[in-house]
Amino acid sequence: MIRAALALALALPAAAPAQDALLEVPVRVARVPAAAAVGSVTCAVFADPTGPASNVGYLGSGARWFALANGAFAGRITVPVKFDAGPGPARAYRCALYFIFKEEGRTLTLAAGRLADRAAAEHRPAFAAAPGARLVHEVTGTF
Amino acid sequence: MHRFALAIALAAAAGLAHGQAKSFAYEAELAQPAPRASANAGGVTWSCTGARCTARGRGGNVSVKGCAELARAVGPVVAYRSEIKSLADASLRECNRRAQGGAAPAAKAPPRPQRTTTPEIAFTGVAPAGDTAERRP
Repeated sequence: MIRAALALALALPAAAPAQDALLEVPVRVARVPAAAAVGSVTCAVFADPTGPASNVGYLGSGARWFALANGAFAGRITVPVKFDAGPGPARAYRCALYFIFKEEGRTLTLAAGRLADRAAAEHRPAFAAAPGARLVHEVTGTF
Repeated sequence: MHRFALAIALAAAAGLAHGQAKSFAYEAELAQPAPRASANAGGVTWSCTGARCTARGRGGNVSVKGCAELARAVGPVVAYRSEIKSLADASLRECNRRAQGGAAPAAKAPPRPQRTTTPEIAFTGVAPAGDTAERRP
């Protein structure tokens, strides 16, 4: 089942959907629990330079999955973004890391940015970031 | 010019004699000698000698498109005509302009997607480190 989901997740980006922006996101992930076979990078783009913080000028978003091998991944993810919420050009972006994992037969998505929030419903201690390790769960910038 | 008139006369005679679909003589004068003896342009095969090219084709019409194709093949064209029609000066200028690549774009190319490289996303968890072999896509 996991293999099937993984195959589907990997096949989706290959469909090369129409996009208006491409974000190349270097990703380095390690020591993720084995329950997570897939990670994902989701990006949103904005016409307003302050968009990543304010959500003003939202243009659209896109995501791309990547397979975790033994809880790790190092590579560059190309995330296509379609401007289906407004016309470009894009001025800024925000990209964030997610983990997809199995728990009690369910497939759950965990935002890496929420890992530190112990009060969050999706908090999973097993996914906690290593103390002192470099953690960049979200990146923002301009075009 | 006399040769062209003769060609027209011969063509007309040939057409009448054989009762076939009308074929017309075409002629183009070039700004300089043609770099090749023949060229396919405007749907016909041209034969070139010096700065003059001739061809035969149906319809007798002349077009900027056909002229431009010839100009691309053999160089700037200063006269382009058939037995019954000829390109006006303005059309000749357009012909040569298109041949030089200055034609208006036929179809607008789709815009290239905006592209950028972001800073690195990095995460190291607390799962056992024994099996964290990294993988590149």
